[in-house]
Amino acid sequence: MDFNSLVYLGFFCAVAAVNYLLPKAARPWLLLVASYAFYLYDPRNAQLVALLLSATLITWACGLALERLTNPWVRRLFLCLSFLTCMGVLFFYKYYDFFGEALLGSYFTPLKLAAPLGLSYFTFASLGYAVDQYQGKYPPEKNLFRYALFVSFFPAIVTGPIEQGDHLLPQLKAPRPFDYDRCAGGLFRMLWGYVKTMVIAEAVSPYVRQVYSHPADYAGPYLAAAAVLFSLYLYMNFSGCCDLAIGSARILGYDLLENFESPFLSPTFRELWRRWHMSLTGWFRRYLYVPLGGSRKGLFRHCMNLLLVFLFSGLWHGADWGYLWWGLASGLLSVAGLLFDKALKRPKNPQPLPLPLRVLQVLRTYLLFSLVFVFFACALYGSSPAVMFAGMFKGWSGALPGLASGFVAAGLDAASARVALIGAAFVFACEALGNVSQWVRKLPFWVRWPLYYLLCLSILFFGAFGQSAYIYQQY
Amino acid sequence: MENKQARPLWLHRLLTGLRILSRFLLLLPIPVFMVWFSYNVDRSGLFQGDLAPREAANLLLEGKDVTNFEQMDERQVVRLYIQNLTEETTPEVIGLGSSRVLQFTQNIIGSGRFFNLGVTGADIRDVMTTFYLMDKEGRLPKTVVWSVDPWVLYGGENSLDSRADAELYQEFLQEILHIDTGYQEPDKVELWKALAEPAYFQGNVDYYLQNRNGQALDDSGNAIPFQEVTGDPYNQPTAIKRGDGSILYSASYRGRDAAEVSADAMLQLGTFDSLHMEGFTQLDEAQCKAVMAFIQYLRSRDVNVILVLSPFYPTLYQELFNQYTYEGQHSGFFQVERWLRSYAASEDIPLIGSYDPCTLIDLEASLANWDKLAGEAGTSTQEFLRADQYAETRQQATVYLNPWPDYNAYYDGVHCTGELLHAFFPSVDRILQLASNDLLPDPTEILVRTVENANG
Repeated sequence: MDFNSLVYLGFFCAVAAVNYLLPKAARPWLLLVASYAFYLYDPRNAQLVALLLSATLITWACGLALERLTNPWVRRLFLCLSFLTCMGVLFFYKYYDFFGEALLGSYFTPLKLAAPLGLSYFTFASLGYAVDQYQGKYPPEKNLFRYALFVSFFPAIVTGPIEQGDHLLPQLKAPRPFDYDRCAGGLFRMLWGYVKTMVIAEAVSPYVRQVYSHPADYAGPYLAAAAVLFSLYLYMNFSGCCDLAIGSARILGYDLLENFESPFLSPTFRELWRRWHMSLTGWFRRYLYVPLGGSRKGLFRHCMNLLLVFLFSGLWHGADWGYLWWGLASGLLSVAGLLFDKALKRPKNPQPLPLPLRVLQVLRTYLLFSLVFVFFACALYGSSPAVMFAGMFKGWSGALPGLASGFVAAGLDAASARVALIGAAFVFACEALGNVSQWVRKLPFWVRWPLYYLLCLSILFFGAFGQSAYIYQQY
Repeated sequence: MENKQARPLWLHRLLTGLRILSRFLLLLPIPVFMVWFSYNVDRSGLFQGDLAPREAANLLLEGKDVTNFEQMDERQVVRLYIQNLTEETTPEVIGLGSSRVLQFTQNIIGSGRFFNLGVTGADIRDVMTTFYLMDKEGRLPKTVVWSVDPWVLYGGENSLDSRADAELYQEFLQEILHIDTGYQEPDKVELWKALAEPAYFQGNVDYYLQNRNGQALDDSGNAIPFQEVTGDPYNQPTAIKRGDGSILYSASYRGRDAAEVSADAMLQLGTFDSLHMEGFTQLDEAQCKAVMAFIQYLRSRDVNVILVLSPFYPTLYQELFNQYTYEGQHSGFFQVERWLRSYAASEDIPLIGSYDPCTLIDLEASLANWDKLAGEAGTSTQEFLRADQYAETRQQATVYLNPWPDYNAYYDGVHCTGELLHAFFPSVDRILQLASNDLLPDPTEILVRTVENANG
């Protein structure tokens, strides 16, 4: 079920209405049924529901066992069971073909399996829960159905944010009563998400897709523009989808983790990564970076840990060398940033620079991020990073006279460019002021409602309907 | 906060519900605007019809002449014209039939509120559905001038025109004539869904902006060929549809000399049966009943009916008659007029004109003679027109259109000019006046060359 379909809106309105009509104790049950209905709406997921159920059952049972058992070896055994269950499923669907082909070459017959919806979400959420139980961070969830809801919560299952047990489970235990302001804030967050995904992301999406799918056909300026626009597209698409998830959950009475915090306003590459896909980086930090020693074991280990986290992050995105290169490049740049900071002995919270310099810093960071994400986009669209990078430096002199018509031919006309630029500037400006759905609610009625109208009309006039290409849906 | 807590729960819920409702109402103008805009612009013609015919229909509704009649989807234009009629623009008199009725103008009909709804190649379904559409829209005329074509009484497949709206005809038969055709009302839900489609709205916005200035384009971006006629309408390079629905052929077509028209008519002799009459040997009983039922339906709606028989080119008719007399061809065709005359006489329906160009009468001149002779005989004109004893006198006093048939009064073998129509067709008001005073001649008395007198 696509978030930007009328079916989802109808489904969600019905679930939200019934949710508040039911007694509090019954609400998680309704949401569990709704989550499975959401999952099963696509018939292709019907045969994969067993995976979701088995990951749920095994990690829940392991959680209970880990609380009661004291023998460290047996506890490790149960942790391994959880790990193997979650990672086994993930590995089988995402990496079986990749490693099989890498190791066995032509002797290997790939299965070409499509990853089930929410695979990464439910495996990471349940594995994180199992690790937390092993570490005894919080008591296990005794109610299987409530735990099943945590693993399959429908607003988050498509693209996250990846939830953590100690954040969502207590909320599921004590559902909140209906609160008008909370629901209005959630609705606005959804509206904001729709603007980002349907208007801004889709304004540049045809161009990015076209150029990345056929990089050899385009001269340097077009490839460079595609690289710069892909970052914008990815942010608007992914963060917009997260806005939809967070907004939906808020209306139902639950807070999901934030996934973005104005990342493109970051002055440095490392800062940007702290604000980008925060639930995944948080997961890696909590369950990989910190257990490996984090920054506590000397500079070399610190650098290696950083590099490892990014490599795993790349691998998590998919079995493609492009993602691995992307992870490696991101890791190396982060390490370089870290070493640079150490060498210059920069304080952790430096004095802010004058505005023009800050703008330059932000632009530099954005360009660096875009450059690294060329690997990512190439993996996504199945093209070669070498062709992209080599092409970026070619054809600048010859392409300039017919640049505008070239952009139009590649799918970016003047109207789309205007929508993307004005829309992105508006979104960045609003998000720079903090959590948009919170400060907008504080605006006076006569300012707030014209804004609602503006957003609704922008979707109506410029939104791409009937297209649901949430990039992170496939990871 | 304290106030909220002090409220009873039911009141709190009621107020919250009202608050939510009021916010949804505040957002309502957006979908309402979307639906309104999509319905009115309607670039794919889902609700308002295709863009090109809509443009033509709009011009006609404004009473303007429209260019490029040859490229017109006449049936669509007629449908859209009827759909968009208002009380003020609803015509009092309409013309029904094929292209053979399309020379009837407001001047010939004698009414400024006449519109010619004839369409080229009209079969019986076109005639009936055109009127049915007017009925459905609640825009009934006072009088229908039906130029009856011979093929309407032929039941064969060849009598049908593929351009006619078969589905609407089925609906008409089932809903009005109560003939079970198995017709089921189409599911309009899918159609109406388009109004709630933002993508359709966006397409309409694009189209609206594109056509705001300059020449109108259709959905595919092609220029719509229908524009208001500029300059002298009688000097146009193409046929035009006039503001009263009639057709004015191009200046060059109208300017052809008698020899060219005659040659054209002779060519049509060889293909005459292909005029929806291939295999027409007998009148079809079902078609006759359908025509009768249709006329009953018109009358049940308090609509006056005038039947018109538009003449064929003299040499063409003569040759057809010869082929019938000596070779037995066109037997169905030669039964039509007889049946129509007999039916019109039995039902007191005014019937004007004839397929036979030699038997067109000058009604006013004939009436003057009949009136005079009735006075001399010491009887009323009505009695003179009905009594058998005056039959021969009546016949002798009837004025046929001499010097008609004029060979210049035709555009080709099957289309006569407006001038000829004007010569045998007094105004609608006059015909209805004569009919109400019982002063129209018995239709069966007109000496037409048909099956009855083929060999005599």
